[in-house]
Amino acid sequence: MLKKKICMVGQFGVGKTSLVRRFVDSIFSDDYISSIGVKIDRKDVTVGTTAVTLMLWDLAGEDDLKQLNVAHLRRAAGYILVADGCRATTFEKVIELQGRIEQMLGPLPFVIVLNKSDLRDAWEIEKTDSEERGWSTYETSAKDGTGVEEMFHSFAEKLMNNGASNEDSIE
Amino acid sequence: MNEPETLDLLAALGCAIFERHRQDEFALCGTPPVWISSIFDARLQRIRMEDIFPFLEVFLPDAEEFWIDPGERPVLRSDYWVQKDLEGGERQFRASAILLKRGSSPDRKLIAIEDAELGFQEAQRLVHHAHETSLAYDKIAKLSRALEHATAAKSEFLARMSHEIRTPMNAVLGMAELLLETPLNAEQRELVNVFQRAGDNLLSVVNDILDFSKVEAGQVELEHIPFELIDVLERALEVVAIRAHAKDLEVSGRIAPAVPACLVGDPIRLGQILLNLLSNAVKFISSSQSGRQRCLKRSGVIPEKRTTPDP
Repeated sequence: MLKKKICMVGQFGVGKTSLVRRFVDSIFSDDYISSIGVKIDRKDVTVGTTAVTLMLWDLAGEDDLKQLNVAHLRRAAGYILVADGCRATTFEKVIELQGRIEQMLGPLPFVIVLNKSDLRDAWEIEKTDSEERGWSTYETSAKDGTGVEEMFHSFAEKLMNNGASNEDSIE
Repeated sequence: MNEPETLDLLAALGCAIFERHRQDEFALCGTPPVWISSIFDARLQRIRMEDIFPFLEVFLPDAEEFWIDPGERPVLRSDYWVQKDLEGGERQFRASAILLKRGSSPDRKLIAIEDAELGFQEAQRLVHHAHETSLAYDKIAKLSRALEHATAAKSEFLARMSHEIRTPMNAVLGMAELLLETPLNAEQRELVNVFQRAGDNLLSVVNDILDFSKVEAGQVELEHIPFELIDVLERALEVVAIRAHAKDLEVSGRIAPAVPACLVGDPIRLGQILLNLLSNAVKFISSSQSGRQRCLKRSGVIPEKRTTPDP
């Protein structure tokens, strides 16, 4: 089956692991557990009539002590940059990470995800902040599931349409 | 340490050892650990490591470089990674690239995979603690900013309201003054006097509120002008005298001879301080208590000196 590697990238605590867990296992836990290293999950989806396995690489959130290891994005078909809508600094981190990844790996398909839409009253980021950069942007809530499935499916579609330029592999 | 010993040691540490035969082709060697069966069928002779441990697709290129030139490094270790086992449970691993030198024979290129649950949990606890501290700090900073905004809004509201009240109040007081200059009978004059005094009191309350909001906003600027101390003291005494007399208390001011008659500073603020102290004194001293005397010294400190013992 066709495989696509997708990396989840962003500052710590924005909900990368929760988004994957919501998408893959349909569950959410309020307990925050910091990720370290890389967590790899797989999810089979169908895009059009094509079955594809998404290899979801959840990369440990960047913090003051540890920088993102861009080498972990090697052979990725694309990446998902996640910010926490309630913390403006996490969107600044998204901008910084996007620049760093593109500088080291060249242009790769990516989308922006503003997570925690269930806490919209406390949001410090507007969707337009991201869209005006020309970035495809989604609002999600890993907690109640809003927008999660759509976001992953749309991105998978985008990667499939992006064609053979990606690092595809067939099992 | 010789070759079999190294392999035995790695096996004793619970590592699964894979030897690289060709690019992309590895074989399990030595005694495999028990956990290996939960990840893949260990009977497979030749395997692609990335198919079993997907994380290795980013580690193997580094391992290839290491095997060519390890330099001074005895081993190359990977980051931790988490993947699901065949039953869907999460497992934590870490990989090491090892180069076994064998003299004239070709070197052996090994990948040791360790079940890293304990080390992973320990590292995770440390990182988690740092993240929670950082998130708590962010939350406190945000609350502090919100508090500052709320205080500023309150001060601004008070300042505006004080201003809005003072303007018509000044008109009322001005009219009362003009009214007093017109022919009035004794009763009318007393009535006008009453609402003029009440107006003065109200204005002073409003001024105090305005001062309070200025203090909170850090906008208080002290005057630096020459003034007569006696004037300030007398004005303060006049204000409290009525209430003191009502309690059968007598107030009087005495300026020590050493205090200069003319001082430089803010007479209005000094007047407020004196008035506050005197008002409290009148409020809290009963008529049976004798008065106390305060001395003004050159240093500006006002120590209290008891002139008669408390009953």
